[in-house]
Amino acid sequence: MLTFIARRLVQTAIIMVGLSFFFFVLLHIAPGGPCDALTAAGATQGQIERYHGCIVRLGLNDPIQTQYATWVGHVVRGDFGVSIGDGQSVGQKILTRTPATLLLAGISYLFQELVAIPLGIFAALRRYSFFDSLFTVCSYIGLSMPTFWLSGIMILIFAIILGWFPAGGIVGDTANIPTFNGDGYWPYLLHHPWHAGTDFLSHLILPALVLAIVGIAGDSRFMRASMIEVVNQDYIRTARAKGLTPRTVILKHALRNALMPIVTNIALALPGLLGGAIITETIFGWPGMGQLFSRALSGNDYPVLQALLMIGAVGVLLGNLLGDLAYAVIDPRIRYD
Amino acid sequence: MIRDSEQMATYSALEAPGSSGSGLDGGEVGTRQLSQLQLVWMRFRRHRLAMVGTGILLFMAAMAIFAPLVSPENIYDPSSADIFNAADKTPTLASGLRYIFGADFNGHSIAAQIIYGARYSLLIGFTSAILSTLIGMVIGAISGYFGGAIDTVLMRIVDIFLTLPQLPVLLVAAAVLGHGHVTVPLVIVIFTFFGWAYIARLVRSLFLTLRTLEYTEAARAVGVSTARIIFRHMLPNTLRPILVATTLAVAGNIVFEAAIDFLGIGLQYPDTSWGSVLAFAEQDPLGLKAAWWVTVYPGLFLVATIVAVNFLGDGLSDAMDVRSK
Repeated sequence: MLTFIARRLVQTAIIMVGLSFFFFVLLHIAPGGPCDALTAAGATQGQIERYHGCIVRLGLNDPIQTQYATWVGHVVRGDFGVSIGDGQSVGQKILTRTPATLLLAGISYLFQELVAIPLGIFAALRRYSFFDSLFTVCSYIGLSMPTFWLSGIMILIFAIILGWFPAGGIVGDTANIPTFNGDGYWPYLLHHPWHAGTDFLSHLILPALVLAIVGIAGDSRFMRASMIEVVNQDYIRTARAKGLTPRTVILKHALRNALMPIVTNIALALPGLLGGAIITETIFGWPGMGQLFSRALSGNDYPVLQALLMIGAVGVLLGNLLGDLAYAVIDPRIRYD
Repeated sequence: MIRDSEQMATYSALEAPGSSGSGLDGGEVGTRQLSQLQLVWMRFRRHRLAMVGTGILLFMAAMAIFAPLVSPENIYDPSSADIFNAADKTPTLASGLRYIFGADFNGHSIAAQIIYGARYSLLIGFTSAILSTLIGMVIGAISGYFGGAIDTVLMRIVDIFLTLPQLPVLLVAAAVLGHGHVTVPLVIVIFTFFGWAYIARLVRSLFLTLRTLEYTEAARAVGVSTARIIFRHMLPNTLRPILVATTLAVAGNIVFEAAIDFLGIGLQYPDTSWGSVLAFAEQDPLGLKAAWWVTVYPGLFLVATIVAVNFLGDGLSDAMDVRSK
């Protein structure tokens, strides 16, 4: 097992090098460079000088392999460069935004699995019933909803028409509560857990629901398929035949095996949550990594984009590794020797 | 070995095509033998959701093809908009179908934009999914049939493509290559370029099993050419999982295109897709509250199409499952 993990980590490292170069090239073949904001048609002498200063400062005239080598040299020392937008360090920028993303992704994912797994099991056990047909149609509709549209509809219904929740942001009572994750936010939360906590939750609910609805639709279908597959196995028929109660058969014999693919699936998906939900965070003004991504995208902030793409890729690779490991841990028939 | 998990997936995906032909011909003495295609069609027709999906898709396709004929307004003609009377017009049937879904703040009929938007949304969704499926099939077939060094090289490339975080990479590619605004051919190229790897991996794993089956060996033994074995004997048996993957790709591409529009780096007028209509709705000065129809209706058509594509995929998967009768 340890050799397997070691080998996979080496493979992962090699793929990361390849991917980072790919991202680097992709971001640097862009004609609209990061310095373009400084110049325009009819630029003054000063503007042109600043433009050239920018080009030289960022080393944009060097051959791409030189630029890449410089970048790698900095990254291995933990330096992801500075944002073109505001000159802040990219690493710092990302760290500031991690808590918001982790809270939103974590809570909505937990909720998603808590609903999806029982729902899928229930639909599978009542296959072909009215509930199951309704479930199938609803899950297809849920799966088919683009998050930006669903977000709009949720804002329309729950924020605008009903007025139950705020339409966006993360802190409502800005007069009293400090900026999220800024100076004094966490101490304030400790001292006024009720006030700051409910304020936070009321902002969390809508984006978390949007993310969960789409996820529930997918994962509950997955759970249903897995449960149906297991219930049709011979050992379930045997368990029934020897007179076990339906309850024991379902809970002890079927469920355990049916949960295996779902657990693998969760392991596969978890690290991917790190990257944040680009669309949902953007619409709800949630100050996480997803929003950082869409801002960097519209601002041509390449160092930030490069770092975020890398984080996304690490998420996928880590997910694959975790998925394989989870598979081996749960299913004793799988051995990675 | 990592292969274990892959192989398991292969077997379960293969059970259906692998047993092809054996399940159906028993007991039909004296009756006309139905061809494989007729059987598939028969089962597909009984799948209620699939028929609903097909109906919706045909409707959308007809709407897209005959857009200039059925649209109540020519969206490419700025003078056709009723700027002074219709700005953010509430949905009404008073003047016929033209404002059934209302009008946006420029006075353009939403119904007309939905009808024209169907063209590029469907074109992009289907073309890029079909292109990436074709490329993936060829690469996967070569990799799975020949194995060895070719397989190793191709699969490492596939590994890299499968590691790309999908939405971020598509967005960055669209932003960077589109200089701020993508065009329809560019979107199709980007989606195809980043979309073939999954199909290639799928076809390869199916081929790994298929090439050891008796009928492949038999074909090789009687001297059938490699190309004919691959394309005539093996590929048809991989169609079911491939078709399902393709329908998923169609749905995914339509949504991704809309997401690109939504983030402001997508198609620009006169190029119109459902996504660009929705993105334009975002800029409405009246906002979601006062002009909800500008967002709600185009989105409904988008969702209905995705649902229909998914139903279709589900129906095809069931209909081509030779174990079911």
